[in-house]
Amino acid sequence: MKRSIWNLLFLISSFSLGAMLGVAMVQELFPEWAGVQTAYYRRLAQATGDRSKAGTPVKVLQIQLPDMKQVDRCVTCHVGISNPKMADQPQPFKTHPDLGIPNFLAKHSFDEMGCTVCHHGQGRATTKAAAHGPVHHWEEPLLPKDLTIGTCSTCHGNVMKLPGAERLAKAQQMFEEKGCIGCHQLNGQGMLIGPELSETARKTTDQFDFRYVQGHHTWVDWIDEHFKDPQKITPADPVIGIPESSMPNYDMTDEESRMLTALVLSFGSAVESEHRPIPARFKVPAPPKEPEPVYASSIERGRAVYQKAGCVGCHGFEGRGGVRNNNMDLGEEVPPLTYVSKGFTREELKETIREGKYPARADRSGPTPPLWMPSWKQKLTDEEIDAVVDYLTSLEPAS
Amino acid sequence: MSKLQVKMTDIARAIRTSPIWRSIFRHGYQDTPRNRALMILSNVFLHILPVKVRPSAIRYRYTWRLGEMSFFLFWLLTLTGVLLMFYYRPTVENAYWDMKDLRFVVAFGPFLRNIHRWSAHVMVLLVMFHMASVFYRSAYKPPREYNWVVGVILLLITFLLSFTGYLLPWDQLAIWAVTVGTNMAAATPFLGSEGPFSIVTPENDMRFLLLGSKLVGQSGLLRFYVLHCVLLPLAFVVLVSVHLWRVRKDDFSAIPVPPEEERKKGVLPETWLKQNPAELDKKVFTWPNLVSRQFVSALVATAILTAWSLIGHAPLEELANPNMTPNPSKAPWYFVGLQELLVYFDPWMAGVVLPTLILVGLIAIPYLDKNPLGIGYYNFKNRKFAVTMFTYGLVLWFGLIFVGYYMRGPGWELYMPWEKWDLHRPPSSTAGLHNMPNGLGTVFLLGYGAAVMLLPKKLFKKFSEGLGPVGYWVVMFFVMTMLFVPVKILLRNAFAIKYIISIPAFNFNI
Repeated sequence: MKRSIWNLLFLISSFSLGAMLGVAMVQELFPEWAGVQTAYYRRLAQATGDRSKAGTPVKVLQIQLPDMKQVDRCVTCHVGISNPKMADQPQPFKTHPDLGIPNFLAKHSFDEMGCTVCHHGQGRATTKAAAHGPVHHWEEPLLPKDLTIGTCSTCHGNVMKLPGAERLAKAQQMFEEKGCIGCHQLNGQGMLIGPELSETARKTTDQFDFRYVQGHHTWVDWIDEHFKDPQKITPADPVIGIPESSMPNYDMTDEESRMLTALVLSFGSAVESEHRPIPARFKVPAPPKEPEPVYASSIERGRAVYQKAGCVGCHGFEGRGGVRNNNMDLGEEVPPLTYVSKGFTREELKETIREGKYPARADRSGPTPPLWMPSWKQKLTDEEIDAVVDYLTSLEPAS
Repeated sequence: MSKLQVKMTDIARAIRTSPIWRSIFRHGYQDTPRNRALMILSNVFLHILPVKVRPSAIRYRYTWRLGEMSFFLFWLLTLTGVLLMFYYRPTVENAYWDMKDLRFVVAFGPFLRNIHRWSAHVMVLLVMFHMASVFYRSAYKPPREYNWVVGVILLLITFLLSFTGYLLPWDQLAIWAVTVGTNMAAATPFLGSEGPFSIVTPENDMRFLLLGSKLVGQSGLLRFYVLHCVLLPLAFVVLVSVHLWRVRKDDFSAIPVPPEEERKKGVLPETWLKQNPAELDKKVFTWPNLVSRQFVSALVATAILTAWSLIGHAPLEELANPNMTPNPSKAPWYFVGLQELLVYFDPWMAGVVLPTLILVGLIAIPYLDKNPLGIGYYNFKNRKFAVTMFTYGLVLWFGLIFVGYYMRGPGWELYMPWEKWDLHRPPSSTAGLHNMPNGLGTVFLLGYGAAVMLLPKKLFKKFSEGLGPVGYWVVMFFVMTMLFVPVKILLRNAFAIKYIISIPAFNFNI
């Protein structure tokens, strides 16, 4: 009896061990990518008419980029990215498109730059799921196609001037028009009422709250959905005592929120990363700063400063106000500035701009209003403040 | 017999009688008693086993094969570990990416890494269970006291082997688990910069000795690598050789069990053996009785671990980032119990004093337990105190691990195992916590110590005399320390008391 149990155990475990080692062997001999590569060479033989190509032995193909600390194995499946004969094939066999940009392929050598520098994704992975993501513990999943534009700034200082960057440039224009910089700092410019923007794309998934996000739990979907409805993604949390997001809801279209997401990514890509150092030879310098235009009057200059500094972000286009400020007196809104010259002297206005001001609460026992007037004396010169006051005075309708 | 068979038999005989064959294998495989003995005696590896063993030692339910399995896993880990060393570079620049390459492009890389990782966890668990099973069979009693001590040191080395290996993947899991562990070293009394009565700076304390730095970084990675791959395995091999050799020399502890009717009458195996001394000499050959069972057990273990490694991938989180602390950061599971104690004690207690006392206490067991009964079989009736105390310690140890591992979420908040972690749950308040006044605390502590250490002497005269004059105080000191843990847990949770004695000037808090 006793012996037979041991015999049985011996039989079962040795057979199952053999079977499992067989499974491991099969997994090793027929990996996912091998099937893709075989199919690629078969298609290549068809496309070129060269039968001998069909039997090309398969192997892991990789682009080694030691100075960028990357190894991109994407080409193991996407073998034909630089083969023009494969232009009409489906993914993953297809040639990399030239995006309608002259000289695009000639200037971006995949052998020198790899793939993940533009597309993100896990370059070292050799399975589709792990390479494209989203996978747990990989912070840079493959970017959706329409957001890849956001990584051009990794090398291009002149990204807004690039052909093909029209949509991104539009987002940049919106960014300036809406005066985002009034609350969000970027590269030392602007105020820190909201989060800094060049860091946002570098945040890890742990740092986002995905409870109200419908899409994937990636920062792309978080930012995108937050643009569309900030209060839905970051509502008030009475348990911890955090008020809802004070970011205005701009009723963005899908296209707008998407391109602004690409813009935020673009801000992040422009920052040097120690995990992906970019060799100097790839860098395209930013165009020289345009000289300050000569303004016809102090009012014109004031209007430009009002726009550039981001006052418009809270006080509205031409000072018409409209941004909600929870629990602030004056109707829970950032005050409009149209009649400001009636209520304050010139000196008082300049003093307020210089030193800033904390709004009074509508309900004394309620929470602090999330928006406040920051102090601008570090950011604006006295002449600029003078010009802004001139501009504000000019806003009062002539009656 | 066919012509072919005749021919094959001839060839086989020719090989077996050739001078080359005979120079390597001294004897044949005919199943004779002489050969069974020779199989053990003429084999350098097998002769660590005796030629004959008592049938009771072969029984599965006696050892549960725990020690043998631990030993086997050590070699499985050595084999897979050496293979992994071919692909791994212990540098901050490369370590993590070598793990990724192992996962994606090295032939059998994921399999190797998985089996190494899972075997390590299983080995730690088995070594602990092995110790427990040895305790319950009183196998540490004379003449095997010293071997128990060697065993405790081997347990420590097993922990350290696993702990040093934990850092090597260089991901977030690794560096923060090791940060938790090594920060405790900084809390060593006197020799840790953050411990009580510190006489050192962060540049020359215990943590610096471990890490070669104040933080987990390149020098720490290299030290852990050398410890993991060279020093600790070497120490393990030396000590495990002593351990096994001692098992052979001290005679294997298993004794024959009296027949059913004798046991029902309440006859102790010791008394029964005195009446039937011949029973002790009834032995069977190790080859094949024991060796075959060991082989099959190892085979089963390998099969289970192989299955596990095919299904489950060893964890690999994000690249280590010293600026981003995951919430919660947990130590490796076998140290999570000590980490859980950090809620109730300062690091110098939870991370240094208590683990040291556990080790010293374990080592002291065979020298304190003077009860000669129970060697080689399970006996609770005649060693109630010893078994109760050991079981209590074991339950406390694994209970704390369970709470720390399965019931602690972000901010080390308490969660039920089935509850989802909620990063947005407000932290539980520590506002009501207060310290005992130092005077009252001192009185409380002395009173508690006196009560636990003195009362049994008065109440259980026979028990205290049995332990001997010195033995009694040592035993009761360890009992007092062990009971102090739930006392402190109760004080904090029921009476909101943080420290019993607190002297911030010396960083000394209990």
